Amino acid sequence: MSSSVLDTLDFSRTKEPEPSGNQRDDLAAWLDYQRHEFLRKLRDLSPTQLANWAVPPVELSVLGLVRHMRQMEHAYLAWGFGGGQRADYYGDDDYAGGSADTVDEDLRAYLAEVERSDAALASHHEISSKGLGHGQSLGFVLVKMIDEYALHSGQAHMIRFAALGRLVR
Amino acid sequence: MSSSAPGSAAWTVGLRDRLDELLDEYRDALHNSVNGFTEEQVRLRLVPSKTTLLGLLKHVAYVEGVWFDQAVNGRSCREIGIASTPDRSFTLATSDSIASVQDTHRRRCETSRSVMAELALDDVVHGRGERTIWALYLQVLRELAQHAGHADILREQLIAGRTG
Repeated sequence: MSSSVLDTLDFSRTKEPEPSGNQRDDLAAWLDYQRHEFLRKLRDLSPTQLANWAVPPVELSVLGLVRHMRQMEHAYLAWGFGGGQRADYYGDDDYAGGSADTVDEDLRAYLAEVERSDAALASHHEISSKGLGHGQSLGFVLVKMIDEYALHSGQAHMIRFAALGRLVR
Repeated sequence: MSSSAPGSAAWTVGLRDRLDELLDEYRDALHNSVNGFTEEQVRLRLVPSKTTLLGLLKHVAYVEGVWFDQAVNGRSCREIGIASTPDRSFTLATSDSIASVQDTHRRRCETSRSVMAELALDDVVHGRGERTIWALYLQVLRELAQHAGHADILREQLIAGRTG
């Protein structure tokens, strides 16, 4: 099984952002960097490996982490800053859900959510600006999202090794 | 080192406390990640890298030393008592044990807290090039979070191996 969306992702290495002198722009640049590092964890994985619960009995796949991050993008940024109707896309079925058949759909939904997040962020220029949805400040929320991406990239890093089958033992 | 009061700039109000809280949560999680396992288990390589549970704990103590000591005070790795490279900081000596690495990590974190308590997020330090304190916080938060993610999965693999 192949995925048309996986083939379009940019898996190249990127450099860490340089300080710009503007805290809001620096944090936004670090968010972009962490998003990219997270998506890089998908490289080399087939749709089946992406959806594999590679560390049983834990019901968690790299795809599950993508679904989880879609919900985080929505709650903290797309809805959190943009306002409007709050969605609960997967309920408790984010980490464990998804299959090789939903890879394209899940990836498209994730990428669309990131676009909505960026559109919401574009109208908030001040680091102390408050989100229309959750009312939290931009500085705090950007730090929180950078933290979320780093944690889940760490998990994805190990799960991808397991999914690729290159375990030493 | 600057002497301005912590949280002096408007954008950092509330953020400083949350950052300290987040860091302490990850410090605790990593410190406790080796609990409940044998000395052999915490040294098992379950993926093709140097990553072991005890190696991770040793590495995050190094991370604290680099960013919350060297980057602030400009002390050398030797003076601080940490490995000379990130790669070496994962390497376990035969004399390392769960207790000794936990002890080093705990003392390292105590030093980090006391060094950083003197500094505001907008202060600038020059120990490893010019950096703001909030950039150091972000660096350490990213590293601890990522390694906590590694530890999460390593623990699950060890638990699965133990029972299954």
